[in-house]
Amino acid sequence: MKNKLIAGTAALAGLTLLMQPARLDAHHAFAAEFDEKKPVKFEDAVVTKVALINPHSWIYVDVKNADGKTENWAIEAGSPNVLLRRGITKDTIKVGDRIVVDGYQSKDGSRRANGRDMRLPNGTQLFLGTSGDAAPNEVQRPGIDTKN
Amino acid sequence: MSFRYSWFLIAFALAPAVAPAQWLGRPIPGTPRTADGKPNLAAPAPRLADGKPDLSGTWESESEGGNRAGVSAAGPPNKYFSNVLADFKTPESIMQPATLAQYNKSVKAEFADSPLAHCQPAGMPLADAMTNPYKLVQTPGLIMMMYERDTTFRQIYTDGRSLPADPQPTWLGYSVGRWDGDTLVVETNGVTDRAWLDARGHTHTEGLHITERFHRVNFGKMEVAITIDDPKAYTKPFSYTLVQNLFPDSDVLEFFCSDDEKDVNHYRGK
Repeated sequence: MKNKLIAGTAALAGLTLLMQPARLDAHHAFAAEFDEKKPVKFEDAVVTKVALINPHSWIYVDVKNADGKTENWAIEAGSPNVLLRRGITKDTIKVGDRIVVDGYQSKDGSRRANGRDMRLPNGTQLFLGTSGDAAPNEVQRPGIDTKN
Repeated sequence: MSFRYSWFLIAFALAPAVAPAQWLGRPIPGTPRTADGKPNLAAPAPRLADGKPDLSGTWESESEGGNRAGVSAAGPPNKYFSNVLADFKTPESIMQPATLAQYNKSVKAEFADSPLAHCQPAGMPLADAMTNPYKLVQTPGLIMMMYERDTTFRQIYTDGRSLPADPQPTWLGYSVGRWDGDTLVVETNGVTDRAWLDARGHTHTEGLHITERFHRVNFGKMEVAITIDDPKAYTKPFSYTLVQNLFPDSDVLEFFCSDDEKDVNHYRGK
C-alpha cells in the first residue's frame, strides 16, 4: 500500500511537471534566469551560508562534482517573508547541515540553481517556496511539500 | 477545476498552521471566532459606526489554485498578476501598435525587462495583484494601503476631493474613493508610464485611468473589480476581478526588494 502510494505520488508529481503554468514570480520570471532543461540534484550537500535576504533567500552549499572536487553552489529560495509564513525561520537551516536539495540551474551555466525541495538532516522536507512563483518550483505535492 | 489545482487544494487541506516570529499568530481583537477559537473567515463583513463596511485588515490576492490562510504566495501568482488581458482570446486585438510592440519585445526578453525584475516598484494596478500582502487601514476621510512589497504605502482620499486634472506622475498615482452602497469605488490617475499593468509586458500611457471597486464579501474575502481605461494604449476599456483573502491574526512584514538583488546580472532572453 505504502509503495503504491509512493509510486502514485511520484507519477502525479511527474504529471504536474508536464502541466506547468506560467513561470513568473513577484520578482523575476523563472525563464529569465533558469533553465528547466538543466535540473540538478545534490544528495549530500553541506550548507556553507544561509542568506535570508530580499528579494530572494539564497542557501550556499558545498557539493562534490563528478571528479570528486568540491564546488560551491548557490540555491535560490523564496523571499524571507514567504519562507517565514511557511514556518522556515533563521533557526531552520544551519551552516554545516548535510542536506539533499534539488532545483534548476542558471541558464548562464554558473553554479546557481532555482531551488525546489530540501531535506534537512532530521528528515524534515522543506518546500523552498522558490520565488513564490510557478512550476517547476511551486507546485506542491501532499506528503512531500507538506509535513502531513 | 483543473487537475493541477486539485493538488493545491489537497495540499492546503493538509498544511499545518504556522506562526513563527513576533508578528504572526497574534490574535487580533475584534476577529470573529468559531467555537474552537479559530478566526471565522465566513462571518459577515464588519461595519463601522457609520454603517459602512470596514475593509481594514491584512490582505493578499489569491494565488492560482486557492488560498492557504496566512501563507503568502501559496501557489503561482493569480493570472492577472501575470497578464491583465488573460480573459481575452485575442489580446493583441485591443492593444494599440506601440503597446503591442513593447509587449513583443518583452516576450523575447522572457520578461526580464519587467520593472519588478529590477526591483523597481509595483505600480498601480499591479500593486493590487502582488503575491505580497498589504494592510488596509480605514479611517474617516482616508484609507491607507500599507504594501509589504518595498514597505511602501498608497493613500486613498475619501474626503470628497476630486482627481487632479493634470497630475504629476508617480508609480502608485493619485487615488480618491467614495462609497457606492457597500462598495468602495476608488479612482486613480497620474500613474507613470514606467510602471507596467502586470508582470508580462502590458504597458500603459500616462493617460491611464483606473477604477477599483472593493467589496468585502465576508470577514475573510474581498473582491476587487478593476477597470483599465487608457485609449492611447488599449482600444477599449477592460475589466478583471481579483479575489483577495484576509490573513487572520497576521500582519505585513518588512520587505525591501533592493536589499541584496543577485539575479539581474544573470538574466538571459530566448
